[in-house]
Amino acid sequence: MSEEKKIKPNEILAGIDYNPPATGWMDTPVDFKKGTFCNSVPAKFMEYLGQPQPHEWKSYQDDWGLPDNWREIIFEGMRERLKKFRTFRVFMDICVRCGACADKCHFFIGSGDPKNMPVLRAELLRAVYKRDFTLAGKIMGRFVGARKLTVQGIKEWFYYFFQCTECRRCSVFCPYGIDTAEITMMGRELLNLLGLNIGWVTEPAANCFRTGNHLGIEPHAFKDSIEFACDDVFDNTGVKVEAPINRKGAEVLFVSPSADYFGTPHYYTLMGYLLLFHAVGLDYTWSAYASEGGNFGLFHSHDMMKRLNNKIYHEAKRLKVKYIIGGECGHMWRVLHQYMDTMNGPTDFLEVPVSHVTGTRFDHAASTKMIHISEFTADLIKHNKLKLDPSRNNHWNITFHDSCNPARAMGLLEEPRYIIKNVCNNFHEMPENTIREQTFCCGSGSGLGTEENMEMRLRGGLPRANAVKYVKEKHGVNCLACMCAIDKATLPPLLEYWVPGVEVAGVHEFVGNALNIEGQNERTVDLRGEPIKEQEEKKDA
Amino acid sequence: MLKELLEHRQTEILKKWFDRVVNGYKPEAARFLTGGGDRFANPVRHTLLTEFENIFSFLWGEGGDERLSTALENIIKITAVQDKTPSKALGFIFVLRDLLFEEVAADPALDAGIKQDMLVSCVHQTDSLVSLGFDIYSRCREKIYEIRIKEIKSQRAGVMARGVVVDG
Repeated sequence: MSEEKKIKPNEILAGIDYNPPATGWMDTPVDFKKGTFCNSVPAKFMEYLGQPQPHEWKSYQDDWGLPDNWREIIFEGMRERLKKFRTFRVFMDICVRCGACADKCHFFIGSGDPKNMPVLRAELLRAVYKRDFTLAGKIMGRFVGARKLTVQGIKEWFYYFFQCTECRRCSVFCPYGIDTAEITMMGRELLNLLGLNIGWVTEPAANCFRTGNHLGIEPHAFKDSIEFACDDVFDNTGVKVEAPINRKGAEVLFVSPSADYFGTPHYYTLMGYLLLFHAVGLDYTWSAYASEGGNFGLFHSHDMMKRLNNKIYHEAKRLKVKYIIGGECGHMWRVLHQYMDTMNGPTDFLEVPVSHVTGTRFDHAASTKMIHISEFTADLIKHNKLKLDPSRNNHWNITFHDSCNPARAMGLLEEPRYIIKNVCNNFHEMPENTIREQTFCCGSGSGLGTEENMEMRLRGGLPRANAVKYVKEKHGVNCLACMCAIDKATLPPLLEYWVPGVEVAGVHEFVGNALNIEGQNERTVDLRGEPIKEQEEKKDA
Repeated sequence: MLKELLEHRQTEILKKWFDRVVNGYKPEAARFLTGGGDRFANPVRHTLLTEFENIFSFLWGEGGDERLSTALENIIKITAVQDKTPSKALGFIFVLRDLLFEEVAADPALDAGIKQDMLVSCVHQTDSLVSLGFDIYSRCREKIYEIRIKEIKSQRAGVMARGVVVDG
């Protein structure tokens, strides 16, 4: 080959374009590619919840069936919310675009899509606010970042506000304390006004409104499911536990996410709760009506969140309990800790929680009268009230994923770690900037954990999985512990893709394994029914 | 001889490789990827930098196919879920081929015959990367669909196993 005839790379590579579109964010339309968005909501669930504009539509089709006056509906909705929620107006006004949040979102880190930068995602709403609600925007328009709301803009809202898991990691870094999750919540509320939402938020909310839980499980089936777990506890431990349901006059109402009695690995956590309550003789009851700790209303609208949260307190009143303990749920605690009191409080019919075993008074819950099970358990361990054999968890080499809401919304950082360190012998933390307040989201929260959205979930979960991979390679970690039902459902597929060989488990599964209880058998299997010795040998190998 | 030439220019080639690949992302993402942050705050940047270096050294026989395959897999797992067409997901290999060609062509000390041999060698090496990469990309995409199916099945299995009737 002579110099003149040598191969030119660009000739070989003709047709392969590495370059991104040259347009700015305002002029780059959204592309609904399958695998990266959640299915639209069927009209029947909107109707059931009495929501406006129920209609059948598909997000990947051109015509979304918007009402003729859609723009007026949105503006009226914005006007109402700007007046009602001071935070909304403040968050619209005070952002200085410093960029501190820009690289903190797991979706941006994993995807590189600039509209996943929290500042830009919020700008989708803020640009409309500027144009139609501020003088500067009305006069100077695009020059000050104002933008006319179009149908394309509505589609962009839908795509990106359902690409935010409301995890609030970005808010940790915002110097003004802007809660980006609340901007997403407002965006979703406004979309609701046009009948636009996703199936995996609205259907569980409708189910919960009807039967008391997201899965639509009716009371008799709920009872069967809990009794089934009692039988499994007996088979694996030899301990016969009781699980009272709808028992009036009990001291405590226990509420857990429905996935605990339905999904795996949640189910093993449920078995752990049952053993623990039996071990300390807790006078408690389940409710077949408040059979859901989770609150998909949080992902829908403030009205829906209030409606779903109310049933827990309504049941507490009906059953005449003294206080409430909540299970390993995530967003339940954001609702409880930050919204419940002003939505449905004051709970003057309940008492400040006091542990019947240790006498500890949980004054931080003086208003809500509800404590997290890890607070209850950590207190028991601290007072040496549990007989524990951590070696029964020796087959696990554990790291802990701080679920976003218990960690960032209620500061529950030490209790789960304290429990794990007391019931397990092998524990290794992930790197500092991926845990505690800075924890990375599973990538599937706030109703985005659907199978049709898998590709987006894998992008969003990359930073979390990346840290898990690090401790797996460094310390041989084989189990990711967490305290959230959504985590337990969505981390296993995430890890199967990014870090095969790491299992997921709830904290109270380890508690159940370690507990020594009178009348127990030789405990040769764990709560999963797996032979402990064999599993230990497998881990060591 | 090609190996020595490229090893001598390794730092420059790796830098160009990284810059060109990163410039294929949207400008805001490119700024992020070329910016700071440790391996946990900026995992894509870290993966690209680390694995480009590994690929470069393994490509000329050090480390073997298995390590080359692992390095490729760590990158392609990311690009396979990043809203890219298959050709773009493997585009980073073609960028390397461009660079190798440019390096060989730009060396004034080489005569035409030697350059031709070197270019053929570059084609062979990068072709093998493309072949490996294509297999890995397909496996990644298959895995995504497998996980989706598994998730649907496990949800239903949970219902069936406990005899729970779910309505709606």
